[in-house]
Amino acid sequence: MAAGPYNYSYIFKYIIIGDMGVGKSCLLHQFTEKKFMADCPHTIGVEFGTRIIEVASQKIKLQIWDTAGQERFRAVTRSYYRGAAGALMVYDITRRSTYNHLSSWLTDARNLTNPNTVIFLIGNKCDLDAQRDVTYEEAKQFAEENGLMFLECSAKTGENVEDAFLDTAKKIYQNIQDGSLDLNAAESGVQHKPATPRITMNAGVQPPNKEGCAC
Amino acid sequence: MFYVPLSKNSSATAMDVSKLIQKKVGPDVICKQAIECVNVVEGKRYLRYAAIIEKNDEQSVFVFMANRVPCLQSGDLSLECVIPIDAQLRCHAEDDSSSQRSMQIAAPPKQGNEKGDIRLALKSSCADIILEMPKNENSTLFLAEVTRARDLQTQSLAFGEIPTFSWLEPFRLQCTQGNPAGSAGSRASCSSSGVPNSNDSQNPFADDTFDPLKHMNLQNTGTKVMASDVGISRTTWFEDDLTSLSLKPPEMLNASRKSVSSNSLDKILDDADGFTDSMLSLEKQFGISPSVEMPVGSKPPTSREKFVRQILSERDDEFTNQTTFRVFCGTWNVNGQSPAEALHKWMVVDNDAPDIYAICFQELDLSKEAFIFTDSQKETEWQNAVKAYLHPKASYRKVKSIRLIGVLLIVYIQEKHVPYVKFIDADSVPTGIMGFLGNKGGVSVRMMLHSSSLCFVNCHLAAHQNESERRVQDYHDILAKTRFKQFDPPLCISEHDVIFWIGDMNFRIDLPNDEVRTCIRQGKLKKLLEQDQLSKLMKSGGDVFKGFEEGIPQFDPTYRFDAGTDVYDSSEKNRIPAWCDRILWQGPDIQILRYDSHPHLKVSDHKPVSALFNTKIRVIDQKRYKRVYEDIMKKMDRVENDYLPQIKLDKTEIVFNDVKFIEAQSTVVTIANVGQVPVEFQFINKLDDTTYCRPWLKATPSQAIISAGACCEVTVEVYVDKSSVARLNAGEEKMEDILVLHLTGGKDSFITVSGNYLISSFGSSIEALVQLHGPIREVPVADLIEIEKPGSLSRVDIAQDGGRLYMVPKEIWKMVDFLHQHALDMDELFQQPGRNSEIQFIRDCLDTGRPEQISGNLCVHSVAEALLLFLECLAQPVIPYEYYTQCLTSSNNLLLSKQIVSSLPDCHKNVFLYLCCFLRELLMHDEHNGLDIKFLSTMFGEVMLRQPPKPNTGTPSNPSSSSSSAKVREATAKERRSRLRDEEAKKAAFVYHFLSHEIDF
Repeated sequence: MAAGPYNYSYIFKYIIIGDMGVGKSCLLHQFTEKKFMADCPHTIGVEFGTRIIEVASQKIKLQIWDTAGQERFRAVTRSYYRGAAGALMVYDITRRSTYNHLSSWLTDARNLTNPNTVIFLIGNKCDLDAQRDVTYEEAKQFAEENGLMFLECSAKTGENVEDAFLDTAKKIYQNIQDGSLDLNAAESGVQHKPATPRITMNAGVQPPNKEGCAC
Repeated sequence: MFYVPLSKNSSATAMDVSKLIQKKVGPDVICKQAIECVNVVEGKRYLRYAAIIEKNDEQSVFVFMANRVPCLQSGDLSLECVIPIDAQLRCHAEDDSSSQRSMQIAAPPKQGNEKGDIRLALKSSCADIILEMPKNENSTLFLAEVTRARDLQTQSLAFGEIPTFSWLEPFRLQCTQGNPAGSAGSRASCSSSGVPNSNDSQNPFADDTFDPLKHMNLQNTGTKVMASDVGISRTTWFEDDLTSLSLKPPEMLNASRKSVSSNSLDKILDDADGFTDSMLSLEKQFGISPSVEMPVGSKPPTSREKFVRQILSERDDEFTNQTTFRVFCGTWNVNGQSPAEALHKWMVVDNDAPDIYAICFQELDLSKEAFIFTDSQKETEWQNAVKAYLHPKASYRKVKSIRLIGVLLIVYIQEKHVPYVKFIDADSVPTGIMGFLGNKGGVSVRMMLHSSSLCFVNCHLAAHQNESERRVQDYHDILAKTRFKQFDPPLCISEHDVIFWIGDMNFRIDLPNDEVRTCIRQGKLKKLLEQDQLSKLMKSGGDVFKGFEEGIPQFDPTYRFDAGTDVYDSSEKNRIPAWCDRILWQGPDIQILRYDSHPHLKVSDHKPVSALFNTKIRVIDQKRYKRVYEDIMKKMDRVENDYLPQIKLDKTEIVFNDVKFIEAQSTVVTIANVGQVPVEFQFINKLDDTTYCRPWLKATPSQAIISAGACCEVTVEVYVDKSSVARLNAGEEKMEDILVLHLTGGKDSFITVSGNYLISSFGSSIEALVQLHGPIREVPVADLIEIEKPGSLSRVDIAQDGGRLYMVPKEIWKMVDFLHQHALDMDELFQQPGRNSEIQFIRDCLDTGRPEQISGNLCVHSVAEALLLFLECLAQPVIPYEYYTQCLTSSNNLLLSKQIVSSLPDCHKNVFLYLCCFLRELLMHDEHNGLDIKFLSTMFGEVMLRQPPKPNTGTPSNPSSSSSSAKVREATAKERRSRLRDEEAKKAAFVYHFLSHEIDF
């Protein structure tokens, strides 16, 4: 990255997949910028965003790849699944067709990622409840049947957006902790940055550089 | 320099010292043993502590000097030198009692000989030091440990294990040795010990890895300590004041060492580990603790952490509230007396318990011992008295107290505020006789309370009516020399939000004694105040007590009384009464509530003075702090995302109309770098592809770097040549591709390229062409695809449609016919290249049914090349792929070759024989056109016999072949070349049969 070194213990790679117009880019924007991007153009390519989060007091850098949803790019976007630690699979609760296509997205995700990739199902646009076309219950059931984590979110209001990204990271971290995710595997989607051991002398008196900075 | 007599019962303190040293060096290393000793340098003796420090089975002797005696906290120690115990270390122990006789240190000194000292000489590539230690059990153990460690190192060296001692590096940087401000150092000791300094003769690489950082002036960087660890430079944060303390000039150390006691509760709080620091816990909670875990290779100065801290401090106002704290300041020159009276009259001025007490004494102990010894009975008495008379309505904890001979400052804070106090430090500056003896001077305590910094100064300035100037000098000295060395760089008094300057400042009233006393009696304090030296100085606007304020003393001068009375000095000195004891403050939002003296307390010749303040302290609102913190983090993330490479494409979709065979079309895509960083782009391969695009597509440049704000024009070109034409013609491939434009460290963009490919007779199959009567462009694509399917010809009902099939494709006939008409006698036929435009024209003529336009005005070479190209492009070569191997093996046999030809599908056989016939015709004109049979055989062998395409082309080569060594690859290439030459010869030989004779079938 251009902006200098940062401190984090891990890098997790995420991909966001799903039909065109379900709000993948808006979810990414909401997560990285905490803002809703109205009239977001179609993604032609793969957008990239990062954010540092904290899980179990470990700082983790998320590298998020937001893929183009258009069918014609499907063959190309498949290249990006490889090595993802987390996959956010998004549908639009107001458009049943986007929900119906989930099984095909899921097939891709399963085939092209490693078995430990955490797949999180997101029903986006839950702020548009009046136009709901897919019930929470059926999606919940679909998620359960396929062993997916699930939340309904709104990239517009920000509802649950944070949770979806963080819960995915927590699950990945848990997989690392219990050893089911092998960090040495090239395709794990996780990079570990070993931290230098710190020398702690005296927890009570920690001289800051200059106290103004200690605030 | 001063001499410290070696304490004979030092073993009692050794345990404590080892604890302090352990704290000092941190938990990563183990302090195995510590001992008090004396460093002998040129006959002079300096008190030191030697410790054996262990890490990773490597031991080292650390020599510390003490900034204070006795050492009470780890900060009182500073590291002087570090001597790794390795095989090179030479150690030599001498019994002082029999100084002439040297002995091996392994031999235990004689037991019971308590009088003698042991001299231990340690010599290595980096140190040369003589340590003297009392001969006792402790020192014996120490010596034994050093020898044992050295022997172990010698042994492991024998096994080839070379110790690195890399962990010593951060400690070495803390060493005071070589620092001119430090002690004269043990390095010089070699001259006195008679051992030649072997530094120069030593192998510079013997001792450790070469560390260029050592040669840089990093000594004073304090908390930033660069460590070189096995070649990887990394940075560690030290959380102690170790390094900064060592910078103290020795003069100051000497003066303050003996006479300063520092009874600091902060130390006790540390030990109890109960000093919960709200800020720290908050920082930890948000992951910005000052001791951060950093990825290897990153440097704290540029880290995100520092940046966040900086912004947090700038936005301080957004998450702090002003809360009023009640601060009581009291000062009393007690004239060496003991507390005989109840102090509550002084210390409890109203009903509300102060949050903070700052109690200042001067002339606490006038005994000679106070100048020499640390302990002062008087101090204990007054400490206890103060403790007993703190406001009864609250419970207090001592923050810190510091004494410089007779000047004692005690700071208490209410128990409930303890969690919010941090970064406590103290310092003292002697200004007395000779400028450094501590009979006059100032002591200071500073702390952080919530988000505000407070500093209390207790001073005792120079006495005497006419010494005002001297007092000013003392003030400036205290202000300038006080340094809170826990910080890097050390903090000054003036760098605090709130300062209370308290003490016996000794300023007098410039009026005759009688007049002063009269005014006091008459209560004309205002008149006296006008002549008060301090008031006058402060009003004068000079830089004396600049920025300080004082309440108006509404009380009688507090100096000087006959002890035990309220009567002003009646002695023969008959001193003029004065307001010696004052309390000043500096800082915003401080309100003085009371400013009193307390004449009821009569034990001293001064009356105590007190002041009560309401002080605004910035208190962090956790909720708002969290909000601001998150906002900053959000902004940082945004900045990081902003610094991702960003580009804009002027088009992401490219459509080429009417793409024709061997006719390039191109368009330019402009990549604009709209981000803030240079962009490196590259077209990357899609999943499982070996190239970034289809063979008919090309983007140039395919990778480049664009600086911020600049643009790069990429030419996207489609060009259908013989390699891709057949698949496009047959409809096996559509002219569609997606270019993936990848930005290094950033996003990918897709550029869709599509084209409307115009099917050409070039690249069609003979089977299809013989079925086509009209021009190929006029045939519906679906029909073309149908007839291009393999075996389409066999489905044709020969009985019905057979007559409608051409013998040879009309396109071939047209070109051959042209050459027959115009080129039989043409020199260099099939050797001269044609003109591209003419070849394209020929293509159009053939494809659009205007063969008549292929006429005499065209260059024959163009037509000749078009013919070769046409044959090369045929979906199936003239001799179909399946016969290829057969042809090659039979090439030396006319009969077999003839058999193969006769077994070819009719249309292929016809084309082959037709072409051979034409070539024979050409050869008959060889005296004009100069052609020879060998050349034609080779040329047409190449185009008519083509090697079948390898199955699975386009997939990446298997790893075993890619991993094969260069040698193997070279061999294969050689082999392939010779095989190709061989095949070429065989192809030519095959065709040769049919050009040399007319063959009947």
